[in-house]
Amino acid sequence: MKPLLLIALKSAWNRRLTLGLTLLAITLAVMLLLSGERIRQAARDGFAQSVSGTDLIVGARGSPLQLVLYAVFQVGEASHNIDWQSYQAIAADPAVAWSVPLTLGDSHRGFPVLGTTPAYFEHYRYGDRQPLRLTAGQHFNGLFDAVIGAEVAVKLGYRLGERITLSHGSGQLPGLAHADKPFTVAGILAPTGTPVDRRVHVSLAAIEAIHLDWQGGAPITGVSIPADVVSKFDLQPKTITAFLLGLHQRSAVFRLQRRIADFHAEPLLAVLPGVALDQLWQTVGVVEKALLGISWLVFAVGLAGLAAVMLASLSERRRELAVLRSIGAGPRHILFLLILESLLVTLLGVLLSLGLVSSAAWLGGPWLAAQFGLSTLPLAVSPGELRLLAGIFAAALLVSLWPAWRAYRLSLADGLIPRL
Amino acid sequence: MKNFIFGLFFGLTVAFVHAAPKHVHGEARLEISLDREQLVVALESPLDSLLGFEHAPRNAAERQALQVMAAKLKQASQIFVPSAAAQCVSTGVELDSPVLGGKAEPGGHNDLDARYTWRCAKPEALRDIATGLFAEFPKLRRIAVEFAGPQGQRAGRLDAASPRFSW
Repeated sequence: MKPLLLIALKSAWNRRLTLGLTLLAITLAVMLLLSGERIRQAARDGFAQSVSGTDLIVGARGSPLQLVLYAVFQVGEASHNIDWQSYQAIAADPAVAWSVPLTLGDSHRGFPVLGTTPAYFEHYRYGDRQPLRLTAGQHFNGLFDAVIGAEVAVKLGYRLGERITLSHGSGQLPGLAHADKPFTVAGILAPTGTPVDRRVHVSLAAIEAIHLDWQGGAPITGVSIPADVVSKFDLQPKTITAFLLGLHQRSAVFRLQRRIADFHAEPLLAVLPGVALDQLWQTVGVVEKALLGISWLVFAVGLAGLAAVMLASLSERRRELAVLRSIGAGPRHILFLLILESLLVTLLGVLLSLGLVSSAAWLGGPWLAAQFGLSTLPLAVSPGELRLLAGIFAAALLVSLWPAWRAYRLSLADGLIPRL
Repeated sequence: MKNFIFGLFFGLTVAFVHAAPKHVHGEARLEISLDREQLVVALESPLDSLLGFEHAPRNAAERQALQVMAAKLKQASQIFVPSAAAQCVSTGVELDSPVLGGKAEPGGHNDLDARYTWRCAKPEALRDIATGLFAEFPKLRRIAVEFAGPQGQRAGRLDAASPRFSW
């Protein structure tokens, strides 16, 4: 057995270029399949965890999806606002640990403006429960301070101290700007890969202040309250759009959800954001399946390459195999040699790609998380991946059997007669 | 582009994601929460899917069926199987239904609420929970699952072919 292995090794070394190409083909195919799988999983987790650590989102009664979309993604809008009193009543529930009110409706050059309280920066979490970090400045201090998301800062080229004006609604119509009360950029948030990057955050009181001299969505003609006197007014909001709740005990979440649904003063709706987003992801599972399908196609191409390289190398080895047989190696030995070689090459390829994918995830994971909102890419091999790898191994073995079988069938004389 | 895809995504699916309907025969809801070592599973199912009828029992056979159903549901280890590695010990089963109290409205639709609790020695090893409900109650077709755990919230759907929810 030992001499046979020695021969195999020496023969392989002799054909290192062709074998190297085969190894490359396998490594690339497995790498694509593995990273496709991991990115798919991370995208799903990242999406479901766009807002994490928040147990419930509460808004006016309607569709749960609509609520999550406007509260988390600022897509669409609320059908009704919520009374400040209702918010206060629910926030005082003994099960509630913290609450963050949200007011939407204004924008700044296409970016949604979110009115909230400093508690937002304290409790908002995304991905694997990561808190919001500032890259510059501070949270709001003064009334007309704004904290902008990373994308807002980059796209509009804003720095600290920049004066910005908010527009009423989506900002499409002229004459609906809050130009008399400009805001100052007080803080810039680090990239999160979530909708936070696209938000301009201001305080609830500021939202109230810029609408003091407004009524029914338009400025009141002839009335103008200058920015320096607004603090003399009562800036307690009367309504908000939605609010986030964190609970003391996770097990209370479903009961509190029911209590909020039965809230007597106003029709309200509470949703578990992760559940709603996960349901949404599952409905569009077709996209996920398409991604997986593409990964497998790529792998099939890789296998075809493997078979092609092996068949080509076979004609290169005709003489070698024939010589081996002429000195007493049986057909079984030849078969063994060929299968051993392709198994080793596949194993090496799988290990190499695992190493590459894991180190890429380790090195590039934080960047991907910040840019695309993928949750942390896994470094270890999951049970699902093990099954995948076993499948890859079996497939590679099957593909290598064909050239091996051909070599087995080739006659001795065929290999020994020199071709002219 | 990102926005466009988002829009497309959401526009197409607004119609599909909704709070699970209140009372659909054959469909039940599970609410699973895991908080430190405490695992709580709340089941809400139309009585029809478990019992075959929803009124208060009218004769001996129906009374018998009701008792059999309650006895089956009380076998926590038959109805739900959490990951073995988590070493969960059942700490209680509560059943609640108007029919059990004999207060069912005639002709109305009635649900059964069941609440199962466990204490798990190794909650970090708790990765899934399987249900025997489909085997015990063939009229039950689907279960919509909502899950809240330390790794976040999840949603899922179970049926006889895939009776295991993992997270």
